[in-house]
Amino acid sequence: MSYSSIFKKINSSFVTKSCVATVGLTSSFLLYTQTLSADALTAAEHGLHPPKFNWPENGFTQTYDHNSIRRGYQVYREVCASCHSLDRVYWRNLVGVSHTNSEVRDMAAEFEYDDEPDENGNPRKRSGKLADNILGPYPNEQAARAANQGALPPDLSLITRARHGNADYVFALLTGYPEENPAGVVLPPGSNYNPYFPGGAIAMGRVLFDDLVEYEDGTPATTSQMAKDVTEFLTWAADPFQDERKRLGLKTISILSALYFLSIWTKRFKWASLKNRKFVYNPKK
Amino acid sequence: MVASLTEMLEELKEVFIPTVAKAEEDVEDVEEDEDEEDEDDEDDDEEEGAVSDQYDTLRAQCQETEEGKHLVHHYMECAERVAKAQEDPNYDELEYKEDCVEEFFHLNHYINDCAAPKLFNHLK
Repeated sequence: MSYSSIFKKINSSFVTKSCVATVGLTSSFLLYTQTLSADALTAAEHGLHPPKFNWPENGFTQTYDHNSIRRGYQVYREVCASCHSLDRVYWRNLVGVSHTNSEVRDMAAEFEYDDEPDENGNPRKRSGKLADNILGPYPNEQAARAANQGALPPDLSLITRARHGNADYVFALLTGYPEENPAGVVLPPGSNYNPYFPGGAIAMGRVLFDDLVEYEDGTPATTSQMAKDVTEFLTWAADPFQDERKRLGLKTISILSALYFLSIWTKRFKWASLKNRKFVYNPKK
Repeated sequence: MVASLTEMLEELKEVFIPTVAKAEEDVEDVEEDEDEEDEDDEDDDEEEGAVSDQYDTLRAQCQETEEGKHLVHHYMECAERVAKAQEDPNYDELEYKEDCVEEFFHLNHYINDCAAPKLFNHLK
């Protein structure tokens, strides 16, 4: 091998390496400059993580607090329902959970639903029945957006299952509006600051204030009490079968474990004669 | 009684949440004065039961702990820095504008973890 070819070989590998190094350095520098200006991956973008609250239904054997669900429905009806729908909850779902049959019938009857057209094809209206779903405040998404400066109030039927932090998030969001925004925060017009909402700028303003509703059972209606009740109601709405599921789970575990031990006993009983037998070899002398 | 209580709480808020930049020493002086009053406040709250929001009361207590004061101090420092920067006539054209979200989050993260486990014992 001549000197020139050796030199070429070294030279080409040097060129390749320096190319790779240049590309690498340039791209990492460009990425670095982006972090100087972009708001990506800041704490504000992720939102403040909600703390864990001691919900009544936490734990294997705990059920929903049904008094709280009943109060929570009242808060939803009097406060949230002016903007948020609850499409996937039907009036009949409330029966035996938070209200009695006749109470729910009366509540449903206050709403008007589309009926079948009459003989001449004219649309008719009828009052609500147990089989109807709870009516939202707006006929469609466009109407909802138009009434809320372009922001769509989400349907609340599954909201506690649809957000990171679940019920904790909803509670923290409702109670988390600070008295004054953190210094230096600039919000787009028509939005409010809430640290738990990713990005911080939320179209919904603070809605819960002390003594906003009057509970029929005399519970003092503080902001956190109302937030707890309405979140409990929404948690139930998103997962109405939890109480039944836990009951069935307990039944299953207790019956199956009894059967398991029974099967162990049966096996030992059946095998007892086999396990205890003794082979004796007595060769003839 | 209730009126004086709410007044005191409002005063407290005014102390912690800056409207204009204050010299740091002033802030600390006022804080110390308020601390003694605030302890009385909390006792009153417990006696009267659910007059003010339970979560606010617990959070105010947590803010009064050593760690809480430490974080409030950091937040106040940042708020002062931002207020000072905003006095600059060219503030709108600045390339980088600081905000106090991170300090606010650190403070609230601590207060949350301190107050949240106790809250539901005070609610029905």
